[in-house]
Amino acid sequence: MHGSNSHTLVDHLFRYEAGKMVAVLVRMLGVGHLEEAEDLVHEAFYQALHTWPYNGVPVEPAAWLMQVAKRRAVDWIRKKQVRDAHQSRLIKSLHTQVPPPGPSLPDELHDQQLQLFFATCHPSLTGEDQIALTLKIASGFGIHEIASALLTQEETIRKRIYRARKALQENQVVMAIPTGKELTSRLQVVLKVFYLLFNEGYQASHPDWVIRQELCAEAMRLTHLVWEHPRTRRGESAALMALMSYHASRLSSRSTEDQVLILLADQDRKSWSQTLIRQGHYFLHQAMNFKPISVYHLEAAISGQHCIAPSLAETDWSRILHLYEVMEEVQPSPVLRLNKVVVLLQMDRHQEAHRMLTLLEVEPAMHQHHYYYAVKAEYHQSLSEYESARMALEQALLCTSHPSSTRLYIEKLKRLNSFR
Amino acid sequence: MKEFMFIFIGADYQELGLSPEEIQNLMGKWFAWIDELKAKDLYIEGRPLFPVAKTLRGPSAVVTDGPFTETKDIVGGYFIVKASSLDEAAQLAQGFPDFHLGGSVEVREVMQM
Repeated sequence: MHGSNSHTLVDHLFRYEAGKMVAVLVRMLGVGHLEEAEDLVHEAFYQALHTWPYNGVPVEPAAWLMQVAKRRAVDWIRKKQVRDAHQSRLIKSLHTQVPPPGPSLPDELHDQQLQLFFATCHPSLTGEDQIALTLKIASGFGIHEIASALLTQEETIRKRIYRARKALQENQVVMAIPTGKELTSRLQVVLKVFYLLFNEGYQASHPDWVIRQELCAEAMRLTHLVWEHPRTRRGESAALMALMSYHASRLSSRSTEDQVLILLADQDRKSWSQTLIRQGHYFLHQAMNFKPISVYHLEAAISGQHCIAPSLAETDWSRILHLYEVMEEVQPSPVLRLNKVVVLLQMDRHQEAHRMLTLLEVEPAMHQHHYYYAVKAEYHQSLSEYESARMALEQALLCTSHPSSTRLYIEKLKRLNSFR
Repeated sequence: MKEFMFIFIGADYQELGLSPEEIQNLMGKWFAWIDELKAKDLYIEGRPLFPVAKTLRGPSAVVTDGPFTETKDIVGGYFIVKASSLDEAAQLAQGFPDFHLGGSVEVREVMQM
């Protein structure tokens, strides 16, 4: 019996390797054969499941898996060659590239992973299809794991993935890292998908704490792969890493065990992860070495200010207000102005807050937006106008169906009633 | 101590549609079971079998593909373990991780020659 006979594996090794292996195989087979690539990768895992318990884990489990997957891909190509003789030229070139199957060079592998991100986050796919396909292909999640993570039916996820694969085929998407201006715009899409993925975990809506943590960790893992690649080592990649690190540092203090959101003011700051905050500082520092300043830079800087403040009252609100103002120049939005109102209230600048709230009231995006009424309630409460605050909160309740926000507003209403 | 063979008959893993994470978790259960048998010094050996097979039967030894004609279940591998009785061996086989996937274990005493 060869092998080390050891029975230990790194946590999530298979899931992490799945993304790499699919990246390499899609490169060999073409994006049109994404599904076949996934199947072949799965076969390699099954072969491991069938043999490792008896022989022990190989000394280099990841290399073993990659080698088996590649060998199966070469077999698949050979069989396909028999089927379509006209592709024989392609096979020859493939043979000079891959035999004998061995581990890829780390750089080459990294390229292929990145190419896969650009494919699964292709702009021809809708946002939700990009997320589903990225989780399936780049992260190695199973259909029901994705459905459970996104609180969606398995059938819906299956449809999304089917639609996404078809779109990649129809648009004849190739495995490549874009160049020039296209790289800049395509990278934005990739990062946005990762940020959405992170938010899926960061929202307190998911009942399973472990799944939420895993989604956030996965989004950070993928973003870090982007940051580490020389072609996409850019300010916004680092800034997004910083933003995710800061947010993640507060993840566990953000909601109670039964998923009620805890407001910043009520969070136990001692439970924030100092390691992740330091990681945030590191990446924000890295991000500042690049131009131009992206929205992620500013969002990260704001989140970082909250992380370093010893208490809500001791937060550097004027610095945060300034960051919001810069952000408004880069990417103005009503929600952003609403956030500014919150900051103004913290600084006791009620008149300005009132002026902005009045202006925002007529914004179509704010119409029936529960967050608007929640902030309005804050405003009235800070002026001890409890009746108006109550009315605004009731309005907020009418405008949301989200369980955790609903519970939060009911909690606030209860507190207000104590002022009666 | 007598010797017993565990013959693992299971549904094809490939048809179960497990995710990479689930495959790794399942493997972890196999590891835990074998490690436990080894820790008690009851494990002698074990080997996996390839799923591909040919069966020869009849007076003229007709060759057919596949181990069984009537069922899709395949023998995935075997263990040889030490136990004092068939009942005790069956007790040890409770640790087999694939019951929930439709797998089964046949426990047979190996004759000492």
